[in-house]
Amino acid sequence: MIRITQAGLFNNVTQRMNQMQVALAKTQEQISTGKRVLKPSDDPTTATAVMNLNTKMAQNERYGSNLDRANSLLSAQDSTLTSVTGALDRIKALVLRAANDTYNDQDRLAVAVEIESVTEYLRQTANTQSSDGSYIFSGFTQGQEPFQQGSDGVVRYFGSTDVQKIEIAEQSMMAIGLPGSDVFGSQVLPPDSNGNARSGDFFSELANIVTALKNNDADSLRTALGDLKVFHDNITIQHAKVGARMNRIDMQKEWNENLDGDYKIMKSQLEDLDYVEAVTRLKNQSVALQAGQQSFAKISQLSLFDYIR
Amino acid sequence: DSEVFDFSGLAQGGSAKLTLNGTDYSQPFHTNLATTLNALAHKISNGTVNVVPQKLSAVSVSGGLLTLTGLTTSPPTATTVLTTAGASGAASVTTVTFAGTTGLSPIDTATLTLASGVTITVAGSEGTYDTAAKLAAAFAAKTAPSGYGMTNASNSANLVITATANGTATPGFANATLAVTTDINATAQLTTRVELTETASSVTGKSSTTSINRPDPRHFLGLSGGINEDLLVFVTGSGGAKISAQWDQSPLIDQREVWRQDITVKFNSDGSQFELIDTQTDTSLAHVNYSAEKGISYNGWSAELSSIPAANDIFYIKGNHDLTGDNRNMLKMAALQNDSTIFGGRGDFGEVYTSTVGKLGTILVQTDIAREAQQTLVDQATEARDSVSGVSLDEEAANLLRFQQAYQASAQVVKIANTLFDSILSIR
Repeated sequence: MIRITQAGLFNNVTQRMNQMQVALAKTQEQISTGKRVLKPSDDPTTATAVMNLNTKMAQNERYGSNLDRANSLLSAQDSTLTSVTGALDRIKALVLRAANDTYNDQDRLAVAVEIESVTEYLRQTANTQSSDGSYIFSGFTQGQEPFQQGSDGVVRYFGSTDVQKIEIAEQSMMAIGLPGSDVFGSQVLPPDSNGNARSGDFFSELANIVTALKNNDADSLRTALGDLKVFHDNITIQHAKVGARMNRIDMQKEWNENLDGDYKIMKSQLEDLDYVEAVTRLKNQSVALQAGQQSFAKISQLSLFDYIR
Repeated sequence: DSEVFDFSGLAQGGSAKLTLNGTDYSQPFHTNLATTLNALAHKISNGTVNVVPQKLSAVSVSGGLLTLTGLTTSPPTATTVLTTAGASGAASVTTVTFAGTTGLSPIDTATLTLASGVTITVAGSEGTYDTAAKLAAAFAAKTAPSGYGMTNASNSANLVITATANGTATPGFANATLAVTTDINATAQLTTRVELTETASSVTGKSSTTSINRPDPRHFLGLSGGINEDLLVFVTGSGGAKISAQWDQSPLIDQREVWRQDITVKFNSDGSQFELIDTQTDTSLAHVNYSAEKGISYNGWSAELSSIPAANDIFYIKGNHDLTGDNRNMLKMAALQNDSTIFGGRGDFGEVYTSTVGKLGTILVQTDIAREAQQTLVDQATEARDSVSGVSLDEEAANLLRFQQAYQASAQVVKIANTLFDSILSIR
């Protein structure tokens, strides 16, 4: 500049002070929000990385809630199957005793009555509903009990053979139920005395046992013992499936939690403000601003007119 | 060779049109009938005079009639020379010599009259008779009327006509006269407009005359102003007409009910065609040729077969009434979140959105930098300007002092000068 004029001086100083104000305001905003990146334009690459992390964290949360739901369903199945196994053991004990030739008609009849009531108990257990009202052994078909007894006394399965799956991790589905047909459905039974293959489902087996008891048919009762073992083994297998799934859920939950923690750390590193650096910067900027203002006040007053009489 | 067209039915809103040799001349009604027809006549005569092949010699208007008079195009003439006069029982021979430079034009018709009621006609459209000789030959080629014979020497414009003896008296003829007429190739069209006026209880029609002789009338109905009726019924003759109408809302079609229609798909014996059957009513709906690419579709849904259907395969397609717990579609919907193919491979929802935001951020940064650079330029320019044209108070103060001193010094000079003059002037 060749000359410093009043207008030039004022303009200059105003510009500089405005710039300092802007920087100061930005620092203040950062401090009050605790974030270094306030808008995408502050740091585009960081902003996009943070958005991606947010998406991942939200997904993680969803998987977490899915896992919780799966867990509650599986727990219901777990306890139900435990009850079923218990009831089955009782039936086995009863049949074992009744197959004994020392039992007579009356005794066998009494056993039949008891087994009938246990059968009804088992049927109702098979129709257990989970906390959200869905039948745990019904599969895709909802809205009616999966095991219903017709007027002919036969218990039939009205559910489906497919079960619901839910997503517990990215691209990872898990079935959260057992179809009633797997648990109580038809199994291959030991062949009969002629070597013919036999099969039957759980409830019809129980009905047969009751009939055999009423008919005093000890042979059938002995055959039934072998059949009951098959059913018992099957239920054990199904129970094991449930257990395995619950283990998997626990592992997945832990994994998800770790992942969530990692995400949080990464996010914080990317977007959180370093307070020490920010406060120091704030101090510097306010000092600079103050100095600028005071010096301007002093300089702007200097004028030759003050010294001319 | 003149034709008359009756346009007397022309009224306000109508128009008259004449088509002459394929050219249309039309004139909408203007002021009155005479004015309109005169205007039309003017158009026609301007357009057709000197236009070959139709040269009209006159276009005239009288009352509601437009008359076109045709001009034959340099018609040929004929002179007759009675070579041998017929006496009772003997033939008479006449030579008709044709003359004319252009012969018979295609729109002309030449009629040779031998005696009362005895004529021979040659039409110009039958052939090319552009010389007198050809015309003579044309006449000779015609079947002569009974009692006459015609001959013509090759390339000669002379037609020798012999009137043979006919019973007791020879027909004889002294002169054969030739008349040439021109057919005016014109059609006319008259357009009228029927005006409807509405009265309190009925609508009456008032039409202009409908008795048009030659022109082909077209009637248009013009409703002037607004008419409040939703439905107009036109009756002919006398009597009354009554009509009533009702409006019912059409029942809404529930698309879900449409989809719930259970369909049976039955393939034919070679698997090339399938039949769509409504399962509930066992009604056959359609027969469709099957192709693996097209699959099976109906009612808005479509199905694909994973392998080739065998002969007489039957598939049952029904709505998912029972499996209310089936969450497979929901799983598919949830899987969309990670589906990268939706946006043409650019990524899934989250990625595309994030990249858009990132792009925006980058653009903002660039814009910010540009703005700052621009601001710096502005500031520097302002500085430079202020530096040149601004006022520095110190400078002005210094200048002020300088000028003040200069002024004081000048004032002092004046004072001295004044003193000097006083001294001089005070010398006695």
